[in-house]
Amino acid sequence: MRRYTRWTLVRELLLILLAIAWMIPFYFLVIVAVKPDVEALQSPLSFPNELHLSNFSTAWNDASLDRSLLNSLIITCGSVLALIAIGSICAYAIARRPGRMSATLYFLFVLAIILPFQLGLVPTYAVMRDFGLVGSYIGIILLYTGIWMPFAVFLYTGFVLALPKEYEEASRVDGATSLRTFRKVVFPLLRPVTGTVAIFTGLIIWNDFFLSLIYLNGTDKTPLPVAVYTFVGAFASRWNLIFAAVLVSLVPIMLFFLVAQRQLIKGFTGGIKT
Amino acid sequence: MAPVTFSNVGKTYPDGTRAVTDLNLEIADGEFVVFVGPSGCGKTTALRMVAGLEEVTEGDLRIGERVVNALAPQERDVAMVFQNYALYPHMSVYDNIAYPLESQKMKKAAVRERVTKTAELLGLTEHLKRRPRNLSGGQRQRVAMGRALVRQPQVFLMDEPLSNLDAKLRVQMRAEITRLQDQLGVTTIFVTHDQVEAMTMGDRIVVMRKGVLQQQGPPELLYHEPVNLFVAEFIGSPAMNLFQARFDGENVFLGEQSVPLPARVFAERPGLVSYRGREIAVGVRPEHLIDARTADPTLPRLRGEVRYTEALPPERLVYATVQAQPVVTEDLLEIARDVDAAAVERLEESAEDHFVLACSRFDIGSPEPPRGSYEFAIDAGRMHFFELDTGSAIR
Repeated sequence: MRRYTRWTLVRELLLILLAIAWMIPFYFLVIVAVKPDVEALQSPLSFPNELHLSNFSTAWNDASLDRSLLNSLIITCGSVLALIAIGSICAYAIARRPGRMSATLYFLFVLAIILPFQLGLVPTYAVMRDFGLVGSYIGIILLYTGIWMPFAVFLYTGFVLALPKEYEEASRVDGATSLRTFRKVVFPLLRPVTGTVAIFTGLIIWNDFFLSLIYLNGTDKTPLPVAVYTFVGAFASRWNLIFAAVLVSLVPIMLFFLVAQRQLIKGFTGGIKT
Repeated sequence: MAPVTFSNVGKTYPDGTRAVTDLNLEIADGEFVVFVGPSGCGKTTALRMVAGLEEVTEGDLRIGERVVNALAPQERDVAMVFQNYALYPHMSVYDNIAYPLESQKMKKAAVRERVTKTAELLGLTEHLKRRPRNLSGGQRQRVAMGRALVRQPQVFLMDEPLSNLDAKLRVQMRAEITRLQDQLGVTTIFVTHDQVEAMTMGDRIVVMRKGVLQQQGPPELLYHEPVNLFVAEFIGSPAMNLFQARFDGENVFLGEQSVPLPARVFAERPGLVSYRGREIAVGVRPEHLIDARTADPTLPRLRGEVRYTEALPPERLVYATVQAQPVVTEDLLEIARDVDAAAVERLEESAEDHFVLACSRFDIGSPEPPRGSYEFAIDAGRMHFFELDTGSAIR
């Protein structure tokens, strides 16, 4: 049997075309980011006459992207770590201690996935303000953790339920306490779903604009999406600087994907291998 | 190392299912006891109760002098080998074996020493850095053993640890486990559904059925003096030939053929006379159904139709149908069911057509019997007799 047939070629070409189509917005992002102000407004889609690389430094300085980058990292990492740490152990308890209590908790979590968090936006803001949590890292991390916890618990619970109990039983017979069993045996086995939770919630939180705007705008803790918003004015927007800032804010994620690519795909596709 | 005592131990699940009923058993310090029975007989549940993985709902379970009913697994100082080994897939062989020691907060150097020693004992030294998934079935089995051995526990528990190995490796590991147990002298409870494993490994065998202990004792006792039809049929391979027979006080009638019973039978079983004129179950081990050509001429004869033979040096198994009613009781159907659905069908079919497929052991050196009618001799003095309705042995 020939493995590389004409159909394979056609399929490949189609996929390449699709990939190119996918890259078009990215192309616009790059070309607008290197245009001077006037050209960016007059002919945004044409190829730039000259490379205006100073956009990057302007964007970097005017929106203090260094600070925002750090903020984004702190907020995203903090939230994701909390989601993983609390979500996994919470799901473990729900999955391994069946009963009315667990069922009720699980139901509440599922309900929280269904209900839009915007419903509670105003009261949440009031409460957070009263506790002095508006405009602080802890506050926004708590908020993101709370909003995405149902989703994390949901994913983890499904995974734990599918996990053979024998590993835990072996660990208990081997003399380990429940906590040690979780830490040394269960949690490492949850790695695939931990990867899913981390990437999914990480991307959402990294890109989130709305909550950061409400809770952090005007402070020195604004993350990248809000910082980029600096260049959006009421009457005129400096698209070249916005795009340059967006490009800069993309870099960490791109790097993350490049470095962790293999691990991520493994995480998505791999189950438990004994 | 410690004795294990079951006193009226029972297990009822929340949904009302009874897994183990009124189990009384004393396992001596250093003894190797095998729990055997068909699936669902409660043997694994009994084992898991010792491990602390199942709650004891009735009675007392002791390890040494302590009642352990309420103790968590980690407080019992037992080690267990699981059917699928349950090796931690994310840890190396070394870490797997070291895990129980680290759980006890043992010093690193001491852990290293013990793990190294255990690995040597089991021939795992060169594999210590590998992950379980890169090991063969036999090696994984050894790692699981190592994880149990390394801690020098009070009791070893093994839940069908050989069932995932191929036949040859199983025989090898059987010998190895027996040797290790002998060497270390740790009280061991071994669960299996394979009666060959049970016969070859245990100092003592405990046969269970539907959560109830049927008989316990050394392998030879169970083989030669089964207390009921269930044990008789379950222990021994090939299984005992069972016939439904009429007893007239001196002879048993297998279908139309009469087999006179020697005086020895009545001497050993004074209870038998009271069954005069009734139907009973008669059991004959394959080695007591002999080739008539070479048998003692005074032994009673039994005619059958040779259907097929299996050469299994040093013996030849000869299968012949004998016109007689087979014994079909719930016990035997259950054993058949455990083998496969077809076995149940075969048993029911033979009852309908009024024949018993009997197995006989010939010497491989003797000429193969021709297909068709053939004469066998029965060592009638070594036959087994059972009540038909209760299945208990007539003594």
